[in-house]
Amino acid sequence: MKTKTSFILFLGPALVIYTIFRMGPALASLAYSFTNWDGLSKTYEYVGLSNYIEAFRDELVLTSIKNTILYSVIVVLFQNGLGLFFAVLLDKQWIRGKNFFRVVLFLPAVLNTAAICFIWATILSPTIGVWGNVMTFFHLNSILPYDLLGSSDTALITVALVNIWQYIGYSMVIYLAGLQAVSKDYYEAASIDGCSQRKMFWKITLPLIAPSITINTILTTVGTLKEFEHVYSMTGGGPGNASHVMGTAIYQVAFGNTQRFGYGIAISTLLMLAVCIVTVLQRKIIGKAEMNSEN
Amino acid sequence: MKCKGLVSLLLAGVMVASLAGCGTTVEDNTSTPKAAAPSDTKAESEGTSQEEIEEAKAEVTVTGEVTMVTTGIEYEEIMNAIKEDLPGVEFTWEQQGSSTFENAYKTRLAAGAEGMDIFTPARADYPVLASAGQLLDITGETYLDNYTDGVISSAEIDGKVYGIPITANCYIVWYNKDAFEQCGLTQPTTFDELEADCAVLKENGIVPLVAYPKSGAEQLAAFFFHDLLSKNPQWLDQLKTGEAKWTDEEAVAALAKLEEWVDNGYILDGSLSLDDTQAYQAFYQGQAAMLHNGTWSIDKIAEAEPEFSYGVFPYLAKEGTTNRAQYCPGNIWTIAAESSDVEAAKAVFNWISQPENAQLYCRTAKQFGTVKGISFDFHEAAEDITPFYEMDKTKMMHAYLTPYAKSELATQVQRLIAKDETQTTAEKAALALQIAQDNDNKN
Repeated sequence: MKTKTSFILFLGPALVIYTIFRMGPALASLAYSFTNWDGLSKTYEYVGLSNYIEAFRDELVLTSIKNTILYSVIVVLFQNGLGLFFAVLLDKQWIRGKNFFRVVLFLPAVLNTAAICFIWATILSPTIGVWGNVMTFFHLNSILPYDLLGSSDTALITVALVNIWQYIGYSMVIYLAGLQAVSKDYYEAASIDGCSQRKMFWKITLPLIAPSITINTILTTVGTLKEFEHVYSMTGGGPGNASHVMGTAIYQVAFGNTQRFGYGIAISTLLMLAVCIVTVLQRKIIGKAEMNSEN
Repeated sequence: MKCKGLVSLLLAGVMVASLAGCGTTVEDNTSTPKAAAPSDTKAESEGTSQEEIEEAKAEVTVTGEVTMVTTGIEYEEIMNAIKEDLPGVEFTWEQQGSSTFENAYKTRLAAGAEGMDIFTPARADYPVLASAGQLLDITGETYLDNYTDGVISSAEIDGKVYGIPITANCYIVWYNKDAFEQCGLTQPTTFDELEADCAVLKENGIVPLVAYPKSGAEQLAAFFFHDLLSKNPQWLDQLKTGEAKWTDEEAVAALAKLEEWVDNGYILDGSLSLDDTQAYQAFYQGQAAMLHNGTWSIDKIAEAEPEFSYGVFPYLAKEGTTNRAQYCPGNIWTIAAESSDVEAAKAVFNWISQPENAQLYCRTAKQFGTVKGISFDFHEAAEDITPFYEMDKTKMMHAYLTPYAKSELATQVQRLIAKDETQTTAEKAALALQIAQDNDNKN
């Protein structure tokens, strides 16, 4: 009984604040998704489901959904793959100056995203950056467009690469924590049994850091589905809407020229549902894999 | 003579009493001191002694707190001058980053103008906010007479004034005089001459124009629609009523001209990923002979001082068309309708509307002001630009387009520049624009 009371006492205030300041506005915004509110006027009309129906017919939204999925897949795969690679590498005892490399890899994650994007946009600009010279020096002109951020074929992928570069260190740190929790006894035993390094990685390391993989994958997936800053800063969704993701599309319809808050909130609601569904599925699939590895 | 003096004293008394009625606090309902200069002059001319005027000023000090929220820099000189001239007003100038500014003022408006009395809404938001009752109606305020012709009327919404366009903008083209001279060229005066110059520049291995479609695709479009807008200043309004269409021959021709410039290599490769700041860098580096932009960015060139000599000309119309300046009011100062200190905010408006204060603002902000009698002497290029404000005017394209059409125009311009990838043509772009325009007109 005492435990229950203290549980309520401790949890209560936080829960009340969370409900008022987070859940309240979220639910209120859900109501606005059924209106034509422009975000400024004091009046609005209920338009039923028309915002949701329009979203599935809107070329901008459909392009942004496709791009968001592509962006998520690229970032989740490469950020986690490379993060794990560097974590395994920098977990080795024989690497000299590994703390330095850990800091170097993690540093971009703590820098301001807008500043990073501005710097990369300048570097990658063929007119004012060094990219034009790099292309010429390595004879890349035949395989890559001259203007990576100005080409509809490469703009989104380039932004994804910058995102990966920025957050590799973040994933690496989580994997490192997982790796350091794995007892060295397993490796010693495997080594005595004549197990190769590769086999040790697949049979010991990977199953035992499964929780780190789960958390990293979920964090990256949710983060990329909500992506806004990198795309907005580096391409603004262009050229010709080619690199819009859902975050920037929502911003464009709600805060851009058209000023359609109600519609923007409807797309946000769809995004929220998508994030929830993907996270639940991911949790189930990876959780199952975790269970199998434990068995 | 005695009678005249008495009448003058009486008038001064009435003035003080009437100003006192406009006060901001319950305890001290007084108003408008130094800023009410015209009345002072009148009183003085009618024989009131200087001591009496000073006395009246001391009595009528406006009191209150005013917070002004803008994007960009808050100018120390302006703040100090306001503090000196309006000692009773606690004036705070809050700067917001350009990416957060719109959110900031919208959030504060939604919260009953909490912590915000004066702000400069985005151009697209101004009519929406005015119609939504979020802006204070300042119609009939005497200081509005201090502005040059057409400025205040450009801020009218349904016959009422809700803001003061403190600055005015028009499109310009910077050009590298050295590069032009190297090719034996002089400043073009028509679009036809400009095109001929581009051909010569290109032959000499100089790229004619750097653009910044990432952030200003509509402004590049305006460069090609300029002849149409000079011929027909009503064209943008006619789009709204359906009298004109994007698919009309002249509009398609303007888009086709952009396509032609892309094909001819007149626009710097790699422009698509540039914003205006980066375009300026490319221009300074001598990568292109010209850069299109607007007078709002004069400080960029004023601060950078490129190594080559440069000149400036307005957007150009074709031969035989009267060239007009594409013009629009710049920063619109508005008072939130729910401001907690309306009278103090009005006193600041009165203050900025006085020529000496407006002059100080222009010099400090390096902007083209709209108050009568001020000069643009903050940079030598500003003096070159001054005559453009005296030209016949047409509406600035990107400022007056309807929302969907504006977004679509940016998209289509980018697609036309990347036409090798997108296979977009002027006709396809025009069709997409008309669909967006119809959507706007329907709404």
